[in-house]
Amino acid sequence: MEQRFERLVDQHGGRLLQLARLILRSQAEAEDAVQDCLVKLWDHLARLNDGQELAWLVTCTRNACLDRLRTQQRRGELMAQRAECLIPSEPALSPDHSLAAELRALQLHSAIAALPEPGRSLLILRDIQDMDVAEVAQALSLSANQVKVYNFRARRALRMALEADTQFEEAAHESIA
Amino acid sequence: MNPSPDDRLVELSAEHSLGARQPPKHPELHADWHLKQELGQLPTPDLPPAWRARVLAQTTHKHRRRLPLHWLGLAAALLLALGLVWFQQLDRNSAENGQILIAITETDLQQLQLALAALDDSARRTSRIAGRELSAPFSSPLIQLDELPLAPTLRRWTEPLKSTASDRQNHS
Repeated sequence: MEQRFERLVDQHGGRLLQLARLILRSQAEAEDAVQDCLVKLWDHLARLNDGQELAWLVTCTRNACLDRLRTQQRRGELMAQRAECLIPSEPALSPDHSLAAELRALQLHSAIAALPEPGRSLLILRDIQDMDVAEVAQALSLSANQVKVYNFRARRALRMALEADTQFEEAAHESIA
Repeated sequence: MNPSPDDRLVELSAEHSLGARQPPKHPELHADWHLKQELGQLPTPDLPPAWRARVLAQTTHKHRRRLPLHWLGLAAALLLALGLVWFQQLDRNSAENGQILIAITETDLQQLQLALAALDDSARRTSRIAGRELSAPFSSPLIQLDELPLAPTLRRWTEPLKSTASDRQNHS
């Protein structure tokens, strides 16, 4: 069981941390949330069949993150976390990527983080992590068609938000010039 | 306004078209397709080693540490059981030793002598009665040596014995 657990941590830990970080906008909060879920997984592992673990983990992580987010919003800490999100605690890309690519990645992460649920989780799980439709549907308690349609809408909303940012930046540059 | 079922079908079809290897020709879908490709190239971060170690320490390693505690608990229970057995044995031995150390008083001795004398009398009486009752069945018939078969052979064996016995009596 220990080997199975370690394999699951190595296999899915990265994507769970990414999901949590994009929802919570804080590396430390994300690590705590995923750690809590993995401890719960350790207790439930004997009762989980092979192949069910990822959906269980995604559900647990997403619920834990949304709970933390609600608590943060109640405490009014959201603005401080947004500032932290713009300064990643670890390099998001390998050194051979250009500065422009890193800035683009940051822009994408910030825009995804600002999306409402379930679109945000769908973009992370489907478009970034390329998870199977059936697994995402199981994890988010949606039908397969709902996953596809909501994913399409979320991507479209993301593109609109990015274009609006770009237009805003261009307008700012023109005004400065 | 909620999208109609027809809108959903259009969106579903559009989403399927974005799964193709080539970008769709429609400009909006073309832009969506490129964004999807771009998102797919964002790397999934590696596990921070310290965080991984922390998670395993809280789960599997904790479990591993718990095992020796079970063994220690079993060993402690075994030692306790052995201690109890030893203590009970010790208690029994001291009780037995205590019985040996009981002092007999003069009265006890007199009572004991009286009891032994009574037993002696009754034993003698019992023996006398038993002798009287059993004497009749055990009274053996008088059998002469000459009446037995092979009498000469027997006499030859028994006479040296008789003479040896009479010699010893003479010597003494």
